[in-house]
Amino acid sequence: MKMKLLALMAVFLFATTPARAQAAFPVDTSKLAERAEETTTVSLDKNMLQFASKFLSSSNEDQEARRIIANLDGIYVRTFEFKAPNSYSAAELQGFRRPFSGPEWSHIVSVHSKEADDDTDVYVRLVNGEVKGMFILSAEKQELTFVHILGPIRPEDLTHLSGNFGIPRHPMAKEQPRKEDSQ
Amino acid sequence: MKPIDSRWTAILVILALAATLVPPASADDFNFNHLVSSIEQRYDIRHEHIPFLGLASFCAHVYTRGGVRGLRIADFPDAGTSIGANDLDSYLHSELGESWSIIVRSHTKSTREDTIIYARSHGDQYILLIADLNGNELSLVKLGMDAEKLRKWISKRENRERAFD
Repeated sequence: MKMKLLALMAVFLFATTPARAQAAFPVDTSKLAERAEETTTVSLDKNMLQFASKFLSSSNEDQEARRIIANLDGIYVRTFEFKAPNSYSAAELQGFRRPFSGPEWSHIVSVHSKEADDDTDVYVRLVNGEVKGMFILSAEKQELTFVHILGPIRPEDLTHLSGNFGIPRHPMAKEQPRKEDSQ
Repeated sequence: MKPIDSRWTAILVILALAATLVPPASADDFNFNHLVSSIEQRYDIRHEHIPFLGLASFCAHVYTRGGVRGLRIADFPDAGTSIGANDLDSYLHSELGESWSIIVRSHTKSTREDTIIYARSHGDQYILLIADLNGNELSLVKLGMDAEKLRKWISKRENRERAFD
């Protein structure tokens, strides 16, 4: 059997929707999929999250991750890898950020690394003052990753989930609160 | 008549045991053979027989302490390039029904490889169906997993590794 297939199984088993439920994804990525060299979609609803969580190790870090995902309703990840740099434009990126400019969402983290030329944006969805969801947009030179987390989650919880379930490793490691948010 | 060699008797017993571990359709309400036949008819392709698959399933079951069961593989080496991933997904979804969902989907443009992993759960029991379309070849893999048993198995292995560290 092909190595990639086994690797994908491993992603599901150890890290790790319905395609029909993907309509709920807050941004339209269909145009990216046409241009990307590699596209990966991980869709874990509540039920599948509980299943995947059983494969987390017994370490304190993973136990914390298990506690967090017990309350989540789903994790949906889309990754697009491109053959060449600049396969997406700044205007396109801005378009992906637009759905989160409404009052329901708060932009809590915005990181730009000049050296690595990558951007990370983290938004949280607030309902009656409580965080009910999170959206992460990670843009690297040749890779775009979108993570949509449904359910109650604190920004600091993200460090426990990163590297699991298709979520990029430590997307907030370089986080710096935006000036306007810290005021 | 020559008496049957004890080695062959052992092999026959193992194969018989392995056969009993490949669950019938009624066990998980999913008939893999039916799905393979319907794909053969729809795309006019034939799957290749994989020898000792029952034995492999048995070994996986024993090795994972019951965590993995009912491993089935159907390989269609001459599927051709006419099968589209979206068409295959639509067809598989219509055959599998609403109780199944896609958990992972991957596409690589340069190698024309598509992988779709479907899953269905019932309590702690999960069934995965993996469809891999790679150029001319289509592979279908089905396996059942008992989440609790797999967790215990993984946990035991972790503890053993820690003890060796």
